[in-house]
Amino acid sequence: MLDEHWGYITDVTRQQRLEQAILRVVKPEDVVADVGCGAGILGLLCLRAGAGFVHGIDSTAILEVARETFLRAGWSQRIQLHRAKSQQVSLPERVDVLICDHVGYFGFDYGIVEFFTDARRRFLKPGGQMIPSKINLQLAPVESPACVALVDKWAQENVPPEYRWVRQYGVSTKHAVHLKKDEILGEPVDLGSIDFRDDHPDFFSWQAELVVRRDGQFHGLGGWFDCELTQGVWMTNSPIAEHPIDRSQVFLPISEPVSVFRGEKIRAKIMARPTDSVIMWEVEFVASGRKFSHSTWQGMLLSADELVQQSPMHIPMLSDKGRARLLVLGYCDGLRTAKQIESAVLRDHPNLFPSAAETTRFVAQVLAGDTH
Amino acid sequence: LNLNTKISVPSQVMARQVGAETVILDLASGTYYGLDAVGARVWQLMVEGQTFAQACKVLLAEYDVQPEQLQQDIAALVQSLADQKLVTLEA
Repeated sequence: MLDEHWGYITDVTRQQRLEQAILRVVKPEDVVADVGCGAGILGLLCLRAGAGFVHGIDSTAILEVARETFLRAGWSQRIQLHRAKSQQVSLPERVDVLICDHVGYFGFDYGIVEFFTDARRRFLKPGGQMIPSKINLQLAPVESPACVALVDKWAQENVPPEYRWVRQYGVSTKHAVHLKKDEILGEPVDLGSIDFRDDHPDFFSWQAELVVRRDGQFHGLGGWFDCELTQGVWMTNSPIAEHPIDRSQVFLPISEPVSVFRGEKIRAKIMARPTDSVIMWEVEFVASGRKFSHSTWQGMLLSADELVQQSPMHIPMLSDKGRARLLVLGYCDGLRTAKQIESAVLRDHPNLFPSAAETTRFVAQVLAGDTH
Repeated sequence: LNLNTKISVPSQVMARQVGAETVILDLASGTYYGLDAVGARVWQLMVEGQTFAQACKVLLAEYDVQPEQLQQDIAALVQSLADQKLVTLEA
């Protein structure tokens, strides 16, 4: 976790662009909500730019780094940190500025559409500003042996033959990759855009026609974003940009390479349901009529039971673990200590799990997750 | 729906098979649908391009069931899939 946030904080281009946007948007004494704030760097930049108060929201333990950093930097009186998913947080006031950097690799693939929309509706003052304001999605045909190797790794010779079928999951996966300029087979095209100031449906469907600029092997689609932080300030992870931020792009493979020729047209369709983390991609080679269709849903490791549970007609029944959780929570009466709860569970339900050690671990886990 | 009816699957609809079960996801609505073993077999045959009549013939050979009952059940299933926009009926 620390490594991930070290990567964000030390990405000079990202930092410069976001600081530029913050200096343009944040006015003295503005109240800011930093949604998915991580180590708090954007909130820190807002305070340096004159913000009066920052609400930092993040569901992970990295928030403790933010807390200590603000304390050491002398800003602790002007920050309130909320450890939860932003959709579960209620702020004590409306804010002037919403800021968030959860644009993932392809703009919409890290949850920003869902939680930024919720934050705009519940946290932002009328007329308030959002950073970023918009993302444009770009798509290009890709020839990349490195990406193919990623997709094919379960089919390699050092994998026992019995396991090579697992490659089918690799084909139905959104891969995070660092594309090189010479791996782009044709001009990137604008696939579509998402303006965070507007409401959106849960389902997106975009189409584009790609033109191949040189003979080669088509291995899949490359996707990235061009993000408008505020008017006139952009940030991109495009592999062909002069000053991209240090962030991967996505590679959406097809099941087998297809030879393509200069001038050949490829139709691509991307459908996405960001809330469910599902992306579907269709590729059609206009000249030959060959079509490929893949989705990340088909790449998810799901058991038969889990698949059946996804049906709205499925009638849920409490599992053994669910029953055990209810049982443990039943001892939380506001009087017993954690130790007393553990002792009571072990005494009253000695066969809850195969061993007392596992029961102890389970009780601790439930108490840590579901109580305060 | 008649004997020559075929189905096509809209691009936002996809299916996954695990064992004898098939689960269909309509990405546009975010809704999942489950098919039991017989429903999954109907789905498989008709997605491959078989007509309603051809699918019925195959299933009659595979299951011990009266032709009228089978036709009625499959018609109800296919119509239900069409009503939920999981398939498009083609004459």
